[in-house]
Amino acid sequence: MQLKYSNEGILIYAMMAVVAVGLMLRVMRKKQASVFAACLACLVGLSAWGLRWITVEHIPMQNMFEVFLTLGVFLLPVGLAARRFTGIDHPSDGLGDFILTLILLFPAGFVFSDAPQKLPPALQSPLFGPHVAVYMLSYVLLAKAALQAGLGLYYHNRSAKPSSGQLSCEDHELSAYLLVCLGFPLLSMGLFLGSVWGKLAWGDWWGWDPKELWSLACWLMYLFYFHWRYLFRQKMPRANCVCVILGLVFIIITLLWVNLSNLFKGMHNYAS
Amino acid sequence: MKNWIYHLGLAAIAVLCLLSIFGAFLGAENARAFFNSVPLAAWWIGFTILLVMSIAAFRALHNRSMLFLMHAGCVLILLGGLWGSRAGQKMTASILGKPWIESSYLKLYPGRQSSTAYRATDGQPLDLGFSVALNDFQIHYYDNPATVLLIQSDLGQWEIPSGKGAEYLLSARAGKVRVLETFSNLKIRMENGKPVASEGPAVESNPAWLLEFVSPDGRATQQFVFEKFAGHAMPGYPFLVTPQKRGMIRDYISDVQVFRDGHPVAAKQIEVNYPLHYAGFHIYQDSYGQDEMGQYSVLQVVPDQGVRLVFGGYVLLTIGLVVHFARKVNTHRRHGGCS
Repeated sequence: MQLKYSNEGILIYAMMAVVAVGLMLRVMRKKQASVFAACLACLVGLSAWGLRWITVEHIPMQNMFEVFLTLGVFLLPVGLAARRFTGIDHPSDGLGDFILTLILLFPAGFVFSDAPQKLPPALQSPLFGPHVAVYMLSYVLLAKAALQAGLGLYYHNRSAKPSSGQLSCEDHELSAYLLVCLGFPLLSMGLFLGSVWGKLAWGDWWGWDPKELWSLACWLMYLFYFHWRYLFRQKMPRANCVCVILGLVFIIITLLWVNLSNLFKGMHNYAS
Repeated sequence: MKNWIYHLGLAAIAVLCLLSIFGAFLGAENARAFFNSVPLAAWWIGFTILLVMSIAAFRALHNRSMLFLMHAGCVLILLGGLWGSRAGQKMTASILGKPWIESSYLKLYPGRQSSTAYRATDGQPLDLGFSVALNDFQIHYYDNPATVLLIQSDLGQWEIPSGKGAEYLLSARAGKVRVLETFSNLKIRMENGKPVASEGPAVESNPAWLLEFVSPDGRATQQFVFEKFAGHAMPGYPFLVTPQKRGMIRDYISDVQVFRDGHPVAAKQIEVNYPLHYAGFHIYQDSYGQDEMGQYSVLQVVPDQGVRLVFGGYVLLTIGLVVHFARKVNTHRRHGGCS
């Protein structure tokens, strides 16, 4: 546990406090007030992110602190944009955005060091920003999808039928599917941009590095999900939901376990 | 038949996913060997054939252009990977009757050129068919780097700060060392028939240090160390001293020129992320080092076979994915979303 007394750190804690208030307002079904809290949280978060960019003099996506800061700051606006694109307007989705933001900001606020780091030569590529940014966007969308899939499983396991106005397992499964439809092209672009960058920086478009292989496994998991869902449609909502949740498990492994564990030594170790 | 192909495809994706996870635990080098082994080569070929069969068998892939692009993109990536693999390169070279040049390294000193690279796998020399000249090599640091003096002898290796005046104990057997003088432009002039070291005008640069080694029995030996002739061991000096810069590197750049039959054919300042492309090869800034002959740059020479196919596949796949899924989400939204 590491408390941060830097300006970015204080802004992160302020954002977490506003998000917590927004979450409570959402639980109390005060939608207008919770939207206002979400907007305020976005402003505070973007200030922290912008300040970090000025401090480190490069786009703040280099290390785990910056990655979680970016994920936490952009979840609420990306969530809002996703609702516009997909037409998903469940109360659970808005509530989920507040909870996920708190979960993602926690490692930035309390776990990872915020010591500024300069970019090594390999990271000074025009592809660094786009590669990490599309990955972050896809992770946010796929995390939201997994939350919907989790709710789908929850309602599937409940024997009672949902009352009128309440959402069924199929509704949540469809929401998860639409969010994966948004996240998967971005996940693919992240993988391809990384491959092109690898060719330009290290001479190989595929290096068989543990991080690359976990990223591929992650991509294949969602590929499997799409083919599976095409085959069975919504006849097996539970299996569909499990695939989406497994996809997020693979993302967590790719993002955290591979970077932090000594088990996977590779050229992506600078991210830790 | 179509059902069979679809189920086989689904199983193949699951198996590839499991293989990727298995490979991640092997480490990069072992994973490379594993995924390039004969059984896995057969697997990749089978997987590509399955994809081609699915494109041929499913009418939906013909009617929906974006679905077709996605699957065709995957086929291109797999074909590019197979063609660019070691086996693919070897086969192409034997068909074309050309020497097979695989990934290799060039070690170049400023002002020198070489057409011999050393194979990455076993260090065997390879003739590139062209020569690469290193005109200049520069290292750029984020801040002013600190200079340290690396001292080496049979008794051990030590690193000391290069500031004047301080004395350091190396070891009980090696004795002590002291930095007596530091020079930013060392000049030697003769006084009464004896050479005397002094500081020259600031317009030139010849950084140097005068060290004094004191052996355990009290015998003192003085030794000059030059930055521009790093690692130069004077006869009779027991210690090899190399000045080294310590600091966060921002970039390292090799100014190179490529010659074929004595004529310059390409030139570029190669940096990390900015390789030179010539005659089917990419030449990369790999690393650098220093030895008794001075500072050198290490360049990596990599054939680009199959890369265009792979990147073409990425483009098709990306267009297909973005348009297909954007349409899909849009259709759902227009039908009332899922509120």
